[in-house]
Amino acid sequence: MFKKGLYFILFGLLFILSGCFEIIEEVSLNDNGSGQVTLTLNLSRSKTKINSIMLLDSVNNYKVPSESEIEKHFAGIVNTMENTNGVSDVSNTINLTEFIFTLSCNFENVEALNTVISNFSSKEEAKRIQDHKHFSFDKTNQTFIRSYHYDVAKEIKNTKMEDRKVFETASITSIYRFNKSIISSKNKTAKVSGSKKAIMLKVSAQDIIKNKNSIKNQIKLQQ
Amino acid sequence: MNKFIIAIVLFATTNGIAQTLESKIPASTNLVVTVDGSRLLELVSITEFENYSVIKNLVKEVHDDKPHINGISDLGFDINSKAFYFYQSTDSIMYHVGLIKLKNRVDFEKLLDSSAQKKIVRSGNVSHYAEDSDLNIMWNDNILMLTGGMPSYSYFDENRERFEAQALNEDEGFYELKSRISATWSANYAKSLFNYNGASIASNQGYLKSKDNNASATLWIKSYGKLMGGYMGTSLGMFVGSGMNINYNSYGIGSVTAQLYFEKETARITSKMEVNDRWEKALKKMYSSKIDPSFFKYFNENEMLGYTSIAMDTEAFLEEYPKLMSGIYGGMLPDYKEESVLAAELFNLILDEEAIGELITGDMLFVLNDIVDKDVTYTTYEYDDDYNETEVEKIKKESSPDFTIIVGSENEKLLLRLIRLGVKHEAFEHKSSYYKINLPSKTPFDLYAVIKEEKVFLTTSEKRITNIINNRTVSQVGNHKKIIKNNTSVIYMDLNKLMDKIPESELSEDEEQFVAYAKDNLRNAYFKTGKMKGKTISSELILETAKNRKNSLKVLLDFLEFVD
Repeated sequence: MFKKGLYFILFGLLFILSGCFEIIEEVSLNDNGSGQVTLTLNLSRSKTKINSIMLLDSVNNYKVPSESEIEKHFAGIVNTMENTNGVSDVSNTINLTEFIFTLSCNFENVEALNTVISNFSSKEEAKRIQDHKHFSFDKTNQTFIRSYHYDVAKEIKNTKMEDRKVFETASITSIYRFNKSIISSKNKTAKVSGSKKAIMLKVSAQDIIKNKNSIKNQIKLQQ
Repeated sequence: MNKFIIAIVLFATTNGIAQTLESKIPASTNLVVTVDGSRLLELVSITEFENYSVIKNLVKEVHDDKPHINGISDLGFDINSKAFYFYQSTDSIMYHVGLIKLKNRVDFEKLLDSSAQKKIVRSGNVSHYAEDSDLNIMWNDNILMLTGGMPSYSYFDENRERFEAQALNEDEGFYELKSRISATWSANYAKSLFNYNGASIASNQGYLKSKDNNASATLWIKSYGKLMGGYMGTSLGMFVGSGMNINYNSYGIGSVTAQLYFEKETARITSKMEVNDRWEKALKKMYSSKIDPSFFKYFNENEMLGYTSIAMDTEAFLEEYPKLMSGIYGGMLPDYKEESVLAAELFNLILDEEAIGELITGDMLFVLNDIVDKDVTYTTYEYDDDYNETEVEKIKKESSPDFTIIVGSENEKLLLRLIRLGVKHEAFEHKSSYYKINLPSKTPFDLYAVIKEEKVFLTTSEKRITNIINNRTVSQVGNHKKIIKNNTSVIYMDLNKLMDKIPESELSEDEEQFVAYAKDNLRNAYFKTGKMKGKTISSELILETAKNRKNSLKVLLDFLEFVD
């Protein structure tokens, strides 16, 4: 009883604090459709909470992975990516002090990126990804499209209320860089850089959940 | 039929006396729960109850099916009386029994749907309806009795051959056979109980002593050991054949009484537990000491959100605890009795209880002084005009606990030697007259330590540790001194202040409303474990509610309504 009381007083309040994280997707596309992609998951704002959670076996009925399990999991991802055709120079960083994780690779064409994503999905899901491409680049019309087929709002509704809190203050940022100038983009929230060769789109997870915005975009480049 | 069950639930939530009902509870019963309807109705009227949405919805649901029911009073129960639940078991079946006083038999019977009414078997003034195989409902003009039987599957499996010989025909499977036999047992039990006029629980002195007219509900267990033994034996049967002969009496716990009280400004649950001679001796040695009064010099009730105190004799604890445990495990695993006794003796031989008792006396006080905002750095990114990113460090405020722990110790020399060793291995950093503990970098607070006046102080505040060293602490003990001194352990929380400390920015809209409501309606919470009196250990859970309300039950029901 004593232990429980102490535990409640000390950490009880910290646990109800909600999570906060950012995902950053960066793609640098060459004229021939090849390029480099970096995906960053930054949980640094929530590091105190994560450090507390890391002391537990499980939270909200999810098993809390150990540091070595996290490392092993990433090694598995890197291995799968390395074995994907058209993908090279796969690298990753794991910072368990700030809880920042990155994955990057070079790709021969955006199709290879779609294959990477489908490699981490179920067979059924992989088929949908093939049908509904997440990344596409039309060289003739010089159009780069970022899309996805998930109905995020619907998926989120299927999760438990306590799990949804995780998304309350999360954000997703995409930055795409090109050698040519950007003429137009369909997503009105996206901002084109001063040089016109980069475009950034920052969307809160809440807006995605509520279907107010998405990271989908269609970017037209100069011919 | 669901509507019928709902009506019963509805009643059970509001109800409750009848001396005659008690006469139906056999003297051999091991567990009795009493809910006092008259006490509850003194606190919250029927009209008030009926205005709560949970009750309103239940009544509506029953009303949809039975239009004559417009409120709790129409159910036919005598709400202004006590209702009872009790439990009896044999090696083959457990019986759960509910006893409720009836006010209007006709109204009650109307609750049964027409198909159920056709199944009622009437014998003189007594009616009997069997809902399914193991639920029997019996009533007359005054008493309603519900009995539910839960057969022991392991018992049936063990005696399968004997039971199979009782099959009606070759087509009757073992499951059907079990259901039929247990249904017969349940029906016979219900009938004999309804007509019971032997010695009742009212002749048991322990039970009579547990009664308190001010309690809204009471739980009484004659023997915790026997109850657990009976329950495990009947319901689980899991240890049968595993070589474990569980003797729950070895727990050393006899009768248990718990009461629920709703008073003007407090809701309380009190419990009393009786132990045997061996446990009494051991527990008295372990917990008879009072906390060192010099601890109060460092106790300021105006600068805290909560605390936990413990007064224990470590030396006696180390001597007695292994022996008690060897009793339990020796009783549970008789094949290993010799090993468990030897383990206890070895433990006593290896440890020098006296030396450890001097090092840590067993007096401990943990005070949560505050929840403070602390600057915490985090990494994020900034972008130039061309969206090239730069990693930057930013600062945000985070809540962090600010606490003090005081532990009694009579061997400062040994402690100082330990600390010197800690400094050598960089676990501690020697500051001018105190130590900073080198916690892992991920810990969200700093920790400072000092040994003074046979006490070890650990605190998250550097200012507080210097105040302790320089005798600049303020002692403001209020009522807490008495509470801490008179109890073995106390957990206290100032809910009002605690709620205040939760940063709004971290709460969702619903949580914010919940916290605001809790702040307005709840004050302090205590959990106290008392000193032993004779063979009895008592504990009390107290929730203090807002002062300007009708009573604590009303506050809690309003709270539930709000949360719902």
